[in-house]
Amino acid sequence: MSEGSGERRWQRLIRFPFRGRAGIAADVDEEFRFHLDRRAEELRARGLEPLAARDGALGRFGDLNDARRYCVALDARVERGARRRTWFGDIAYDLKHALRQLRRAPGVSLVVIVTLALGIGATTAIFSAVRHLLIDPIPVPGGDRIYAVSRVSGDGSMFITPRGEAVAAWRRGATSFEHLGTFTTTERTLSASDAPENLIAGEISADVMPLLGVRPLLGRAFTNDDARNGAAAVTILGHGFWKRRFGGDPRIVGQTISLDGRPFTVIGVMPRNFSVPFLFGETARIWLPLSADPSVVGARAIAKLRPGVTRESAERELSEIMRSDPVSARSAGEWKPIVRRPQDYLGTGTRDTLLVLLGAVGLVLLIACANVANVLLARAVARRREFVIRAALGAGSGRVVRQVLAESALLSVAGGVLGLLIAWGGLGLIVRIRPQQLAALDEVRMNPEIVAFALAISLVTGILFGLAPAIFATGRRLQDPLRSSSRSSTAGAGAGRARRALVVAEMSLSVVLLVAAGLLVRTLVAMQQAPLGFDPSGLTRAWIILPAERYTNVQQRTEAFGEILRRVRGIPGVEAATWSMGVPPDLGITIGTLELEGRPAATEGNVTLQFNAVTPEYFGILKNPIRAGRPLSDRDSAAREVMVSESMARRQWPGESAVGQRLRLSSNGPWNTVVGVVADVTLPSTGGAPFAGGQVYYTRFNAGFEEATLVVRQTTGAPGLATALVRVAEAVDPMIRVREVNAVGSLVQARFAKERFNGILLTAFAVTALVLAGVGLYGVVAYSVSQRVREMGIRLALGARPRAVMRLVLLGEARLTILGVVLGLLAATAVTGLLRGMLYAVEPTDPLTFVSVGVALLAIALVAAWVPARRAMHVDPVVALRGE
Amino acid sequence: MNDRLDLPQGTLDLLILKTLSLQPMHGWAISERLHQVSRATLQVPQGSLYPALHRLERRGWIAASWGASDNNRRAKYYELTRAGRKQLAAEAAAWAKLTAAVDLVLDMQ
Repeated sequence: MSEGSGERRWQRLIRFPFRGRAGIAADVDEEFRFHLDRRAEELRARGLEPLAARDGALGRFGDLNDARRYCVALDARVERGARRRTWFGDIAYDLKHALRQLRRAPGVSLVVIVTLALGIGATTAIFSAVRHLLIDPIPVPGGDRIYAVSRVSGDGSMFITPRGEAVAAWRRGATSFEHLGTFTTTERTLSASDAPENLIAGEISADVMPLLGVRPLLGRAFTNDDARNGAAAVTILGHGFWKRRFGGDPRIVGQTISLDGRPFTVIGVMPRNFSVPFLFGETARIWLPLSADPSVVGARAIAKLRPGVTRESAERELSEIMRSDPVSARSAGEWKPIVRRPQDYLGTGTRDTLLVLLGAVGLVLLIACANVANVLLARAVARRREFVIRAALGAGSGRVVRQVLAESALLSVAGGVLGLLIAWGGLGLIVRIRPQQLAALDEVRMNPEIVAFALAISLVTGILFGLAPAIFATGRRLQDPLRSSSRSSTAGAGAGRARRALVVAEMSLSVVLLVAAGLLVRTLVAMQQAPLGFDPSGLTRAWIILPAERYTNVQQRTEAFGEILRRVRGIPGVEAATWSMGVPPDLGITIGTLELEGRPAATEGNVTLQFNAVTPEYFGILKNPIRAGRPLSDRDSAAREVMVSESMARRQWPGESAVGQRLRLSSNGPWNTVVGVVADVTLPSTGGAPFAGGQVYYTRFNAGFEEATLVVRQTTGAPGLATALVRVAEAVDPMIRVREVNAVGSLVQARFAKERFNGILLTAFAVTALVLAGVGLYGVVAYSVSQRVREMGIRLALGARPRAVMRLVLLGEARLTILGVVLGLLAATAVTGLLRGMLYAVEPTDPLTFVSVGVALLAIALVAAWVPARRAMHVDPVVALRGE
Repeated sequence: MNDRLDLPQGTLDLLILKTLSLQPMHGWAISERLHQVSRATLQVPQGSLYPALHRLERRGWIAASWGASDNNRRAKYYELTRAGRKQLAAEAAAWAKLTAAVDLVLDMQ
C-alpha cells in the first residue's frame, strides 16, 4: 500500500514527445534498475553486503536480458501505433479546424474554390480533348498498332486513298499486318411510307470490325461472303439509329429494311458509338459490307500492324509488293504508299488550332493559380496575428504550418472536385460544338493523368501561397504584430508587393486572352458578313441519281428530270427550282490550260477553276447577280456559251469587256463564247489564300448524266422539304435515289464550324480569365482599403472630402490596371502572330480589337475597384480613429 | 521455499489486474504486494512480471506513466484502464467458475 499512495503527480511523459528506440530501451532499463535497487536495498537491510545484495537481487529477477529484450520490442510496437494514432488524430483535428476557418470566411473560400475549379475544369477538358486527338492511340485493344494506309504524292503534299488493286495485292502478300480493312461512306435512302429518310451509311470490309476489336451488340459481324457479288443484301444497324427508328427492339435482327428501294436483311446492331476513329468524318447510321474487290475505288484503308512491326518496315513492304505486282506497278505513278497515325488525318491546321487552345487554357490555369495565390496571400497576411498568437501560446511552428496546409488542402480538394464537374460538363460542350473535322472527339474521355496533374498544380499553388506567409509569420519577427497595435503595420508590405505583382500579371494575361478571343470573334463575324455572291437563305439542294440501268438514253433521262422538276415546283412553299451540276459551297474544280482567243498560248501553265453547268434560271434562283451581258441562253441552244465570274473577267481581259470574248480549257477543244459576267461566288476561309481561280459556267448539257443537283428556293422556311423530295422521287420511280438534301445556308455555316469552335472556346477562356482578374483586383483593392481605414479616417477628420478619398483609392488601383493592360497589349502583339492561320479579314494586330480590349479591361477594373473605394469614402472617422 | 507455488499459466495477468484495481503501482510494489497478500505463497518470477506488465499495457488494460516514488526516484507506475477493469471482472468470473468446477470434481465421492 505504502508504495503507491501519495504519488498523485502524474507526469504524462510517456506519450509525448515520442521516444526513439534508444529512449525506449533507457526507459525499460530504468524501470528494471528501480526494481533491482529496491530488492538490493531490502537484502542489505537484512544484513547482506552490498555486492552480495546486488547479486541476490539479480538472481531473484531471473533472466534479465530476456525480459529486457521482450519489453523493448513490445514497447517499440506500442510506440509506433501511438504515433500513428496521434498523427491521424492531429490530421482530423487540423481538418476540422480548417473547415471552421474556411466557413468563417465563406467569401474568400468560395472565390478560391471557384477559381481553382474553373482553372482545373477548363484545363482538364481541353488537355483531355487535345491528348485524345493528338497523342493517345485509338482507344481499342492494340490501338497503338492501328494505322491508316494511303498514298502520298512524290512531293509529299497530297494524300489520297490507295487504289483497289494495290489493296488487293497487299492483302494477298503483306505480312506486316494483322488486319487490313477498307471503308468508305455512302448515302442511302431508307424507304418507309411514313417517313423516308436519308442516311449516311458506313461501308466496311469484313476486316474492320475484328481490327478494331469490336463485336456487334446483337447478331453477327460482316463476313467476306456478305460483300460478294450476288450475295444477299445485309446491313448492321447503328446503335443510335436502332434506338430511334426501331425503339431498340432486338427482334429487328433477321427482319428486312428497304434501302434505295431494295430489301436489306438486318443481321445485327452495332455497339454504341461504333465508328472508325479519326477516319470517319461523319456519324454513320447504318453499316453495309464493303467488297474487297479491287474495283472498289475511293475506299480508305486502315491496318493493324503485327506486334513489333514498325511503320517504316510496313511501308517498305507495301512499296515492294506494289513494284512486284504488275497491275499496281503500272498505276502507281509517282505515288508512294504511306502508313500514318490516324491522328495525322486531322491536318496541320487543326493541330495548330488545338495547340492555340492548349496555350489559351494554360493561361487560364496560370491566372487561376495567380488568383488563388493572391487571395490566400491576403488572407494569410490578415491572419498573421492569429498565427503569432498561436505560436506564442506554444504551438510549434510545424503545428501552425500544418494548420495552414490543412486549409489549403481542403480548398484544393473542394476546387478539384468542382473542377472535375466543370471539366465533365465542358467536355460534353466541346463535343457538342465540335466541327466536322474533329468527329473523333465523340469518343473523348476525361484523362485520369491530366486530372491528377491539374489537381497537383492546384494543390501546389494552394500550399505554396498559403504556406509562405505562415512560415514567415511564425519565423523571425514573432512579436512584431503583437507589439504594434496598428493594423497598418509594415509587416505585410512584402506580401502586398507580391499581391500587386500578381494582379498585374493576371491583368496582362487576361489581356492576351481577350485579344486572341477578340480576333477570333472578329474573324467569325467577318466570315458571316462576307459577301458570298449569292443568297443561301431559303435555298435547298438535293442530289438526284437515276438508276443507270433503267435510264440509258438522253430521252429517258430528260423526261425523268423534267417530271421530277415539274412535281418539285408543285410542292407547297417552293418558289422556284432548277437543275445544275453543283451548287456552292460544293462546286466542281477543273484543272487545265486556259486559252483565250487572240492571245498567245497560256504562259501560266495549268490553272485551277471552279466550274458549274447550269440552266438560265440558276442565277436568278441563287440571286447571284449578273454584272454584264446576259444569262446563258436556253439549254437547247447549240451555241457553246459560257459565263465567267467578275474577278476572272477582270484578270483575263483587263480594261476591256469580257462579253463576246472566246476561251477554251484545252488546247484543241472548241471555243466557247463569253455571254455574261456574273458576281464572284466566294466562301470565306481561314488559313491559306482564298481560292482565286474564278468560276466558269457552262450551259447544262442535255441530261448527259444520270445524276444532277436539284436547287430549290422556298418562299417560307417550310419544314419537311427533304421528305417531300424523297416522296416526289419515289412517285416518279421508286428506284430514283435522293441524296444529300441540305439547306445551302447550313452547308455554308458548316464551313465556319472550325472558326466558331475556336471563337466560342477562346471567348469562354477569355471571359473566365477576365472574371478571375476582376476578382483578383477587387481583392487587392478591398484589402488595401481595409488596411488603410485609419489613414482614411485621419484624412476625413482633417477635412478631406469623401470624393477625394475615393479618388485616391481609385488612382492607386488605376496604376496597377494600366500597367497590366500595357504589358498585356505588348505581350499580345508578340503572341497573336501565332493566330494568323486562324484569322480571316483581320490582322493579328487589329487596332480595333486591341483598343476595345484595353478599354474593356479598364472598365472592368474600375467596377472591381469601385465597391471598395466607395467603402473608403464612407469611412466614419470616429470609428476609424478609435482604433481596434 | 518448498511451500511456494508456481503460478498456473495465465493467472499472472489476473493477479496483476487485481492488484492494480486497488491503486496505481510500480512493478516493484506489485511484486511485493503479491508476495505479501498471498502470505508468501505465490512466487512471482520477476523475469515474467515485467514482460506481463508491458503486454497488458499494449493491450490497453493498464496504462503506464512515470512518477516519483516514495524515496523520490523516478519510477514507472501502472494503473488500470477502463478496459482493464472490464477485463479483470471477466477474468475473475472465469476463474471463479473454473475453481468451483475443479472443486466439484475434487469433492467427488
